[in-house]
Amino acid sequence: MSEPHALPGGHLSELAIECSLAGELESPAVREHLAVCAACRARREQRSSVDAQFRAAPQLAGRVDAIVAAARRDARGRTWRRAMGVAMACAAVIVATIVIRQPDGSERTRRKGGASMAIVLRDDHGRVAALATGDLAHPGDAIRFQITSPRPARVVVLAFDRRQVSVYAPVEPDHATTLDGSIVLDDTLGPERVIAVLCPRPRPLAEVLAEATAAFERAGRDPTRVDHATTCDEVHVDYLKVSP
Amino acid sequence: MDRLEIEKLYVTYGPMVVRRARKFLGNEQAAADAAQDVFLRVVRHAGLFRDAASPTTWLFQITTNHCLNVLRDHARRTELWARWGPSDADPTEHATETRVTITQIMERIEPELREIAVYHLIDGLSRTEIAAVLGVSPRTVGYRLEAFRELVRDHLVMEAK
Repeated sequence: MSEPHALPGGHLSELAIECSLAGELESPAVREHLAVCAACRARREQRSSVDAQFRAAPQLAGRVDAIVAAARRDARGRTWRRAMGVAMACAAVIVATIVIRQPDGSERTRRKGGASMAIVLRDDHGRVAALATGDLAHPGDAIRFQITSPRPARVVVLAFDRRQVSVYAPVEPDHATTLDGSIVLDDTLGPERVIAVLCPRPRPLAEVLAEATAAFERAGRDPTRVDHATTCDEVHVDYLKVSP
Repeated sequence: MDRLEIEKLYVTYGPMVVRRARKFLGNEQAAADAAQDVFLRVVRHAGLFRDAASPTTWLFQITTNHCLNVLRDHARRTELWARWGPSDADPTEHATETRVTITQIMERIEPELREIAVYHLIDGLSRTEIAAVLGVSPRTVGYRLEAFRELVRDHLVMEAK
């Protein structure tokens, strides 16, 4: 075969078998392999037989109806207020990493307690879920933030992706505050870090953004390497944005 | 998309989507639910689907990502990786120790590497195929596979100490 395959003996991959079954254009290498490999022919034929049963099943029409109905509901959409209420009732407060700047200038980290940030994501089907560190998101998903602070603080939510530092929201919560509005994720793919910056005193937004941008540059524009973006306490949540 | 078009898509690609979802999620109901979600995404992104050079490849990736998201539950993922072996056509068997190691590693790596590891270890995709699925170069796939192998080596070294 001209294409290297990961399976021992050079057998066809799952994807190659599926493309062949779907009638998509086969490469000469795939056709030649199927002609000489009884094992892969058997795999293909077994799947073909199962697929025929799937298509002849009496439940198929009902499944299609369910998809059509769900698509119509999706097109009507749901309001943020209702979705947010459900999500906040169910979502745990997400605490990823808290970086606390000590009075002597040193830093300590802790996993729980104190300030926290919950992120709720709504996808393009109108479904909402908590977004935790390590989760996946997609361009077009919308996210909202709830910041909880044990003491009054001025909060700025910053987002770092491969291209830039963005300001998502400035707010001044006394307690748990759901930030107004939602942010629709853009089409920049890759890792992203959202940082809620909690400042005990008012600071010009431009000043906070300048500190964060400098930290981003020091990290080589790698969001995952931005350890501490500003001189204030921070809450970090990381997620990976992938194509849908 | 109208009902006729959705039905045609489901008839054509539904078996693959359900088969793949069943492989990840382990039961018919979960696979059926996942398939519905995947086809909803197709309806939502009908333009992307129609423009895809290989609809099967596009759906293959979407189904994979959706199922990996569903599998974020730690207990379920551990069970799944412990019982998974290589793809059906591979006649060799991995030792139990290897499966457990892979389970532990997969729980710790970033989602991007995890997806590539699934395509390579479980589905037997070549670098070229993985590159086509992810929309990156085969060289990038090679780098990420090497990063995954380093993680495996590091884990094995730690286990040996």
